[in-house]
Amino acid sequence: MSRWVRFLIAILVGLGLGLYYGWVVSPVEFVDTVPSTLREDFQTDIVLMVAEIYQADGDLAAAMHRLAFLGERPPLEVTQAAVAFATQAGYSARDLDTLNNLLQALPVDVEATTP
Amino acid sequence: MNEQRGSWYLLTGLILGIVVGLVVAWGLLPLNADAVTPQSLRADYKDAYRAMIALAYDATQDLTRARSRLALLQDEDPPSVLAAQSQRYLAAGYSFDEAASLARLAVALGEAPAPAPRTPTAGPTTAPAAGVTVTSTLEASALPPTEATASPAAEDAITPATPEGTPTVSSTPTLTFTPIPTFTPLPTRTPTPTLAPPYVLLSQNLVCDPAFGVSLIQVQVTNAAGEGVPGVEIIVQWEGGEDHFFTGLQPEIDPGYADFEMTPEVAYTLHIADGGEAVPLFVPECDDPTAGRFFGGWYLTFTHP
Repeated sequence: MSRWVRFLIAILVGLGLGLYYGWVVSPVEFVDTVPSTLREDFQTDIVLMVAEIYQADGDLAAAMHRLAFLGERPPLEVTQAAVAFATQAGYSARDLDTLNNLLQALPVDVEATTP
Repeated sequence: MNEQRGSWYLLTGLILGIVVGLVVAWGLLPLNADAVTPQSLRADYKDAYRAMIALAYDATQDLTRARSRLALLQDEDPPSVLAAQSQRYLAAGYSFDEAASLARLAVALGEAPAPAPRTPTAGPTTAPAAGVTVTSTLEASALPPTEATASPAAEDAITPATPEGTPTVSSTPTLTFTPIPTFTPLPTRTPTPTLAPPYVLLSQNLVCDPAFGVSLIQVQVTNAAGEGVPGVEIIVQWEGGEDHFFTGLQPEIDPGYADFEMTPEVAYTLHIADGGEAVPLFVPECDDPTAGRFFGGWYLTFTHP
């Protein structure tokens, strides 16, 4: 077996050890994250909460402000993504209605609210 | 010499492989990159998340959903965490509506330990003994049933999904907006209880307990069935000043409990904001054989007739 083959095998063994350690023994822990990094279903639920509050109080400015919780994306884009996910994931008709109510109320040309 | 060289290059290859493996496992392809949950949020974002849950609960009255959302944060005792956050919000001058929503949700969680509808219990909750010295039994006897964790099955609004992108780990988040403080007050809610005022003063007891260390006006507001009523605004006035406080912000004691710290040699007048009689109060002086002379407090019970 040539030296290069043995060298390659050593690298592969090391790679395996490194992956095992990084994925199994000591995987990455996410701490102090920001809402925009949340999994999509969690982000969708946040939008649903905003929509529920909006349905009760009708305060669109407050709803847009709350949507800024999810980052700097425009409120319309955030809500559209949430509606798409909710539809795909099979949310209840009532929740979809709530989300769509918010979506329809949002102005098209407004950037993200930056308090 | 040749054998030595062989060992070194194998070791070099092994180390190189380990380094590459760690870079991949920790940086490029972290195992749970698609599973960033609310529990991993920074503390201030968690506060904003809780506030939104409370406001949504106010809007929908869906306690099951609120419970499942709170479970995502994995707080040890959600009612206590909510109550504490409510108090922090009040102290920091955030909107009363948010603080009140948090308090209401804390109370609702504390009152409904099981998914099944709760049957109201009758009878007084925290009436102190008709003696001179009370309060030491208050905290133990008035604890509402607490129930913190939600069933995973209740997470009807949360469904697993394939992530849109790979979230990034951020120990120093780069967002610059402040997520918490300035939500617009919701016009449709009121902090008042469901029962009609006015409340009447049922009892006024002197509290002489040197262990307290401060002079408190402790107020217990109950409904006709003797259950604590949260969200009742109480006004205390003194010469040149006035303060408002609310029941329900310490659900670990009782949903209808509130207290206010008095200053010696100041005369106070206390009344329920929605009406009812005004109660004149002052800091009483107590005498204890072992503790000597010290300032005491008052325990007032208001109820709806």
